[in-house]
Amino acid sequence: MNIKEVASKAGVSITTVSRVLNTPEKVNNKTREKVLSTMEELNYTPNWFARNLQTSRSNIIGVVMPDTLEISNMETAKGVEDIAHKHNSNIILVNTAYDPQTEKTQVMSLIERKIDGLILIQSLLDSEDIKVIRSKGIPFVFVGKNDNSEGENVVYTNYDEAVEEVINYLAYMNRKKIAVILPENQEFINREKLKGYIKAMKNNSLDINESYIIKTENSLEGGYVATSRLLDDIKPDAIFAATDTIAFGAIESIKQNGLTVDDVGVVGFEGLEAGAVVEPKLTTVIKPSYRMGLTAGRVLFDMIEDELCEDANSIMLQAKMKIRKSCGNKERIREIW
Amino acid sequence: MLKTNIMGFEIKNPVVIGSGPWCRGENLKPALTCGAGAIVTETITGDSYPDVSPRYDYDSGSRGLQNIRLYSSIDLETWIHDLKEIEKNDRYGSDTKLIASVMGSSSSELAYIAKKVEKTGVDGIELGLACPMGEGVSVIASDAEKVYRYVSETVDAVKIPVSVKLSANSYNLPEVVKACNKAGAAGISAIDTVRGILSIDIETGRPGLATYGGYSGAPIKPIGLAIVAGIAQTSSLPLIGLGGIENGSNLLEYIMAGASAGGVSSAVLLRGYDVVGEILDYLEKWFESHNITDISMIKGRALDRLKSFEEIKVEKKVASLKEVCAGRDCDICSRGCLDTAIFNDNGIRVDSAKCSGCGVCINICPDKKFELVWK
Repeated sequence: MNIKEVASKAGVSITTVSRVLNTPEKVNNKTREKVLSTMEELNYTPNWFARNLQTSRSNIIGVVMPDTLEISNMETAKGVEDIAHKHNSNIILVNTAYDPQTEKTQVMSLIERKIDGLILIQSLLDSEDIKVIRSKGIPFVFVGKNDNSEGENVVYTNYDEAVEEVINYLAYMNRKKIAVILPENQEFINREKLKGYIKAMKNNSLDINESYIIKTENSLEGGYVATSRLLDDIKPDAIFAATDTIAFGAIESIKQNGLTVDDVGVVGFEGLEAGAVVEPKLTTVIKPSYRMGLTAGRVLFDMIEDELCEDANSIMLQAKMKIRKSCGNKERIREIW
Repeated sequence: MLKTNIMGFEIKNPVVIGSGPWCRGENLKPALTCGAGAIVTETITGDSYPDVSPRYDYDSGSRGLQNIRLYSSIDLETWIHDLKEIEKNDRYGSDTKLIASVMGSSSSELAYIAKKVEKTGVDGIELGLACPMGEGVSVIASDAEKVYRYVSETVDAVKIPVSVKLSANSYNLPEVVKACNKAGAAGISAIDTVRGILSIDIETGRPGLATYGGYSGAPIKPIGLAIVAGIAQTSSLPLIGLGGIENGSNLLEYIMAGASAGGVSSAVLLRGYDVVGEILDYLEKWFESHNITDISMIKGRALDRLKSFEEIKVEKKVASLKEVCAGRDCDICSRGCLDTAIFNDNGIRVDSAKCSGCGVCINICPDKKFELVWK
């Protein structure tokens, strides 16, 4: 249940519902009563009402992520932690291994430890789980969209648009057979990335073939093996590797097969530091992982400390393509901007 | 006498200290108390940006300045703390208005940062959409649709007025200005620095600074005036004119180009906050000597005098010497004459049959001996 549903059921705008909650004196009686009765009917409690249910603070924030070995997750955690420290709080990190059941168990155990709030990175919780968290009065912020993040506090990046830009760039570089290697597990993100891929391939009148899209383990070896297979099977002239780690493996495989990035260009995604020093330097998309952590941390403490208690925030942080050498770029100006 | 209106509120005088590192941290107090009508903070973002060294390059001949700073190196939490401190200290007794410059990587991020900053009690928000460094080959402020999204989302998120900073690198200005207007902006500031490379060392082949930067200072005033006049002829939104203002007369030029106030930035960096007092002294004296009691009397005065080419009457005029010139040590006029109409024959002479009245000699003669007369 979220503010959008209340607004649509009551036949008013989200802003009006928000006004009823924050500045009821500004809303006429009739509308106010209608909104309040709709809330009651739908059993709706705004996110930030939660804070009132907790009387004392533990100064601990739970940060829940699918894989603590993924650098991007850790950068996000660092962002959250930097904000937590400014609010005299600490974080507890938990790993869910992309398993919804583990995530649920871990979240409930954190709540039992009386944490003040939750950051849920790439969450796989279902709407029932979210209802439970809300009923316990724990404020939470999603990092990365998921199937239940609509209408909730969420900080995310625009995977689809970023990948669209990547494919447009590869098309500009005259690449026609563009394959995609996706990491296993990251279902939601993969879907978003594929949206951008398909849109740009269509816009550039390039063939899309199911065999162009394969999944692998998110590791150097995963990228290596997947690329070797692609080179044998479909002989692409470019590969969009959905993570930098896969991209590093891909470049190694291309080299081992006696090819260069002029034959098969590679673009990664994430912006790992190593990308700037590998040979050839990796063209990638810089995911604002640290800043997502900072922003999610800020939104969470807004709720905990009652700073900005308005409607849920849906904040997008732009991912930025960083052109380097791994697609044979010759125009240095593109590497500067 | 000097009071004026910017972005929907009144300021006590038209001198605004533009966004930059002279309006942050410990510099906020001297900026607020030097007598300016308003000050704009350095651009606040969701993350802090490291300061590279060196980041300024200056040409004392042209008084042009290049910088390669992006946004503030101070993080959002520290900014909020600093701005709250100012309010706690009752702005050090100053009635200077305080505007926060903010920027984000998307409209939703920008709106969120603006909302956070608004809570500190600032009077207005300026959106730094035109920074010529780092962002991309084209600045956000070139894209009317994006500008609309950024501005409208911020306007919806805050209760205080929102203005937009544009630059010479914002193309499609009429469209962009219209987008600002439609999105509910309360004012426009122009111009931000111009993308530039100040110098290249020809012995080493090294540019003065490590990357493309923002060019500012005296040489960009003509660019700023043209853009401010262009915006003033597009929209009635109040304007803060910036770019190369070094003194009171420069600021008056911006007012006459249609601005409601003028901003000083590089001048503060190069000469300190005293420049504000000097400009105010000049303005007071000038207003008095010209019987001006309100800025509205001179605002936009030059705009009607900016004509289309078709409207410029072809007046048959030729150059003529106001006094005899022997031309013994100097022949710059004859060398510069495009019509070969000026020559030295026992003194400088003008062949009025050949002269087309271009006006070059009038500008280049060191003794100002030429004038244009009816043919």
